[in-house]
Amino acid sequence: MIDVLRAIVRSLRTLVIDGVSSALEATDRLLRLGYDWFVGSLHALHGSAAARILIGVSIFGLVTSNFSSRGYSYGAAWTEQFRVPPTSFAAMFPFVEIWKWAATPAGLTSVFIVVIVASIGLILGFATQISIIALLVFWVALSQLTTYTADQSDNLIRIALTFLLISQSHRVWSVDSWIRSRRERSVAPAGQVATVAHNVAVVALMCQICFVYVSGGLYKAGGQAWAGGWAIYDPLHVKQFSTWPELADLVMTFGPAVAFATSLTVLVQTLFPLMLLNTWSRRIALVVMVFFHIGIGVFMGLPWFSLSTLALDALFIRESTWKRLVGAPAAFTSSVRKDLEDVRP
Amino acid sequence: MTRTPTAARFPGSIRQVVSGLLIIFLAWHVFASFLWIAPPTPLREVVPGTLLQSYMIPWFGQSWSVFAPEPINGDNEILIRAELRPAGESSVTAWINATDIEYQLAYHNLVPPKAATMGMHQAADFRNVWTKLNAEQQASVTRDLGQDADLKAVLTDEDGRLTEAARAYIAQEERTRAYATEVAYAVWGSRVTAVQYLVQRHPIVPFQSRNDSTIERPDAIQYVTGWRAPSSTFDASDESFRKTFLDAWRSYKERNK
Repeated sequence: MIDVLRAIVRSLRTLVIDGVSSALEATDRLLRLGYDWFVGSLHALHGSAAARILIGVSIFGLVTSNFSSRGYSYGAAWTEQFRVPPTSFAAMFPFVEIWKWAATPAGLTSVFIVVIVASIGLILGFATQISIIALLVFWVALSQLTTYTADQSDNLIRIALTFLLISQSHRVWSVDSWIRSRRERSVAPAGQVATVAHNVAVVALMCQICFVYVSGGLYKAGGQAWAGGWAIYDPLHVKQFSTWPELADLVMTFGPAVAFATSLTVLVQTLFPLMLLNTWSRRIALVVMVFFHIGIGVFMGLPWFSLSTLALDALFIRESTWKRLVGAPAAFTSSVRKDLEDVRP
Repeated sequence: MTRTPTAARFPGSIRQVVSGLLIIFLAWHVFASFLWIAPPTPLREVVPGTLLQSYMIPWFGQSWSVFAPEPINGDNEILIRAELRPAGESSVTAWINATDIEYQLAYHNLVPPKAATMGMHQAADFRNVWTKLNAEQQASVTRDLGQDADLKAVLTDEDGRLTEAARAYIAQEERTRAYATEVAYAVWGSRVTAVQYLVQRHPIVPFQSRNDSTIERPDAIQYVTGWRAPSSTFDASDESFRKTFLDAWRSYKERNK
C-alpha cells in the first residue's frame, strides 16, 4: 500500500518538476527572443527618420505660421500670461527662464528664431541631438507660454521629441550621416546600448500613437453625435474649425457620406492596433489615417496637429517600403539618364 | 579621425545591465501611458499612491477626448462696443464681433495662426464661469460699473462672503475686460471712455436641418454684462495687438462688403 502511494507521489513529483521546468524554459526562450529583438538590430530606422523629419516640419510650420502675429497670441498681454506662470511648465526650470525672457517683444522674437533654426536642424538631421535638446527646451517653453494657443499636438510633439532624442533617427536621411560617411570610409554600427535605446524609443512611440487612437475612438463611441453618424458635421460648422465653410457645406450635403466618414473614424481609431497585425489591414489602416489627417489638416485648419500625428504613423511603414519609396525616384532618374545616353550619337 | 564603437567602450556586463534597465523602463512607460491615456478605470489603482500621476504630469501630460463624447456645436463669441468722448457729448459705437474679426485670420488659410482663436477661447472660459453664478449674481453683473465701482463689491453676498463661483467669475471678467479694452483702443483709439462686451454662444444649424433653406440658425444664447470702465492695465499703445487686429478687421470688412 505504502509502495503504491510512494509511486504516485514520485510520479506526481516528476510531473510537477517537468511542468515547471518546461514552463520556465518557455518563459526563458520568450524573454531571450524579446531581448534579442531589442539588442539585435535597429528597427524602423527609416520610419524613425521620417518621424524626425515630419515632427520637424510640424514645429517649423507652427512657428513660421504664427511668426507675424506672435505678439498677438504667444505674447498677448491681456491674458496676464507673463504675470503668473499660466502652466506648470512655465514655473519649472529651465522653462521659467525662457518664460521670463519671452515677456518682452525682443525676447519672444529670439525664442521664435531659436525654435525655427532648431526645427530646420531636425528636418535636415543636422546636429540632430543638439537640435532636439534645443527644441525640448525652447519649443516646449514656447508652447507653454499661454494656454490660449495650446492643443494636444503640443503634448504629442513634446513626447515624440523626448524619445527621438534617444533614437538613431539621424542615421539615415540626414546631413549628420552624410558628413560622417564622407569623413570615414564606413559608418560605425550602433553599439548595443544605442541599439536598445533606439528600439525602446520606437516601441514607446508606436504604443503612444496606438493608445491615442484607441482612447480617441473609445471616448467618441459614447457620444450621441458619433453613434448617430453626424459628428463630423458639427465641428466643421463651428468657425473655430471651419476655415473653408463652403467646402464643408458641400461635403456635408449627402447624409450617407457623412455617416460613413463618422463611423469609419470611430472604427479605424478603435481598431488601429488590431489592424496592424496583418499586412493588408495595416495598409488599409495607414491609408485611412493619411486621408483622415489630410481632411483634419485642410478642412479644420489644423495642419500641424495632423502632421505631428502622421509623423508617428510613419513608424509603422516597413523598412522595405521606405527603401522602395526612396529608390523609385533614383531608379527613374538613372533610367532616364541611361535613355539619354542611348540617344546620343 | 577614428571612432570607437560603443561596444568597445563599455564592458559586456554593464552593457547587459543598461540594456535590461532600458527595457524595464519601456515596460513601465508603456503601462503607465496606457493607464493614463485610456478612459480612467479602476485598473489605475494597481499603481500605488500618486505614482502614476507624478510620473505622467507634467512631462507626459495629455488628453485625447478631443471632439468626444460630443463634438463642439456652437460658436463662442465676444461682441464689443464702446462709449466715445468727442468734444462735448458722448456717443456709443455699434457692436463689433471681435471673435469673428479674429477668425478672418484663419478664413481660407491653409496654415491659420493661433491669433485667430484667442477671443474664442476667452468667450468659452467666460461662459463657463458665468453659468456657475446664481440668478441673483447673474443679474447684478448686468449693472453698469464706473471707474471706481468694484466688481467684488457687487458680487459679495449679505454675509460679506465671496463665493468660489464669484471669485472665478471676477478673474475671467477682468480678463475679458482687458481683451475688450485692447480691441476698443485698437479700433477707436484713446477716445474710449467705457466698454461693454456681450459674450454669446451661437449654436450651429443642426445636422438634420442642414439642407432645409427655410430653417434659420438658432438664436445665440447671450451672457449680458453692464458697461465697464476700460481696463487700467493697458494703455492705448499695444502695437502688436493693434496691428494684428486691424489687419484682420480690414480684410473682414473687405469680405463683408
